[in-house]
Amino acid sequence: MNGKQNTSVRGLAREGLWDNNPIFRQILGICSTLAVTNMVLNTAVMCAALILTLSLSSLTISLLRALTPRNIRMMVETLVIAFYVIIFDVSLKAWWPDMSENLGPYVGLIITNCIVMGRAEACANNQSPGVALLDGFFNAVGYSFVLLAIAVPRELLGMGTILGAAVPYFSGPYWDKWIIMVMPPGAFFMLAVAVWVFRSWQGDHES
Amino acid sequence: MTAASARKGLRDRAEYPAVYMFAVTLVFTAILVGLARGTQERVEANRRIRFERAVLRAAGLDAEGDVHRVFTERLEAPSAGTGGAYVYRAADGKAVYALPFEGQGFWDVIKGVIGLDADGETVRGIAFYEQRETPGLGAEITTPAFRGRFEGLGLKVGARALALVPAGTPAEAGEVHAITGATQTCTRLEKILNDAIAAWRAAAGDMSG
Amino acid sequence: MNPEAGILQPLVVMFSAAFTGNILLAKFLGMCPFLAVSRQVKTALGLGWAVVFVLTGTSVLNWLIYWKVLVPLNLEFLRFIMFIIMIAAFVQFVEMVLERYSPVLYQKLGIFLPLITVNCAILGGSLFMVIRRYTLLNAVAFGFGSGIGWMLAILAMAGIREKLAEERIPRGLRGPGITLIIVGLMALAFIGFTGVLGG
Repeated sequence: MNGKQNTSVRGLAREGLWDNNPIFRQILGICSTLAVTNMVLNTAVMCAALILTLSLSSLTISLLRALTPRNIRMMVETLVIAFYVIIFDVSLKAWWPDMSENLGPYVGLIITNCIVMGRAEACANNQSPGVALLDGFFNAVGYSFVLLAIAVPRELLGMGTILGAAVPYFSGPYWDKWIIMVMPPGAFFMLAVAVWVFRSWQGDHES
Repeated sequence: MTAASARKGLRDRAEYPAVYMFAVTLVFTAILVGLARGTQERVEANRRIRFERAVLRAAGLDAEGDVHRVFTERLEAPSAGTGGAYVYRAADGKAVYALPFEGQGFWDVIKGVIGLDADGETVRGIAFYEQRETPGLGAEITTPAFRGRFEGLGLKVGARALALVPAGTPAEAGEVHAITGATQTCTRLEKILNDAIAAWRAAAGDMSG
Repeated sequence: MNPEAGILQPLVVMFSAAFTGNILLAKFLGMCPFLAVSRQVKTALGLGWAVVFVLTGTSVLNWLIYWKVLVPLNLEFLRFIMFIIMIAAFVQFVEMVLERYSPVLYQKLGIFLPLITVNCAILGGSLFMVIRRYTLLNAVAFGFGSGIGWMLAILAMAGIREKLAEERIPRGLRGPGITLIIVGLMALAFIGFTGVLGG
């Protein structure tokens, strides 16, 4: 990790959303969400789950950091993360059962999402609660916008809809639906394209 | 660090990590148990209503809103003679059997209910309450457009009561147009339905005979 | 009444877990270590075996925990925490046993074991097995098949990447970019196995 972190809101936002974007820069944590990117709505709900989990668990871990013995740090972190994920899972089951069905086991898999543990280790463990919260939030948002950028073309090209609503032309008879887009390989290809575009762009700016 | 060092005595003790872990786990788990208990009823009601709505739809009863009340008032639970099907007695006295079925789809288990007339030769309707097929392809089995193709479908006798044939070809008796691009889901669904209908006919045959 | 009963079923479960429902290529699980450790065939093989072993073992353990402890106590919602704890404990235990009784194997797999606790494929395997209500035998078959499928995918990937090292690739695509495209092609190929299993 870069030794010194800029802890202003601006700095944290820049880090999480762009300079150190968890997906483009580190290709981390895609497992739990890539699977549901064939529909924008499912992706949005997963991203909301991640934003809540990552922000709140970073905050909690930071609050507990002075009390937590170092040797059991990882266990406590896992417990805190699992706690928030279960809250989300239980709420979804109670108030949005259809969505809970759609997402299947993927909500639970946020626990092993490398980003959450990564931010806990890299930031929440040694920063004040406010910084940890913002760091978690911006990283999760940075992650979310990339996944949504993958989900929108997948649903549009593959099913001719956005958020389930038919889009003119793409849902019409002249558009031959790209079935591969809603199948798993489509997710890999879209992510590759996104990474390609981003890295080329970022590379150009740096040099 | 002065505040921290004042409490150092406590935290230097060997049992501190274990006690701390225990306390943290206890607090978090207590909150979760509370939340889960609080929502348990809702979760169970949701699951029941999903299934009940599917049964009603299959029997040709579209109950908007009060699914649970209609279900309990109008349907008879499966008994020994119905081959595992729920029974709905229409106004004219004719019985409709709503037969739950399940089996392996393309990605995961597909669960649903199919409504059959008492003679076992005509389909009243079909509905699904659990599936994880590909959205936009296999998952289209849940759309009214696809389910509508089953309404009034005449079944054949024998082990293959119905068949899913490619869209565009003429559909004969016992044939339904499949979803283009969802061949795997449709082949599996066809097998699931035929197995379920064959098993039901065997069980219900004893009853009528 | 149950058409799925029979001796063949565990085999079908195993093959579909390894090929058509490949945990990595169709379910996207275990991506992080997959992208990070697929540069060389040798290390990929080591990690692959470790995953097969842990996935099979934890499937059994978590099946018992879920159906014999959590469900009777009505505590299913705690499964996430329990599964993670069981996985971590199992990995730790295997590490200790290996270190004591098989130093050779420990040298080979030891460094990979800690990585595995946070491999989503392991937790994902347990969650899928519970959602699909597999019997114990099917759960074992599923865990083993998923592990094998993951290993096949990472081996193939490592083989391709070794060849790819000397190729000229557009700058932005180097590393993860090109890897993802190859994974996509592999996913296409694995979907092709679908017809083989028929029912």
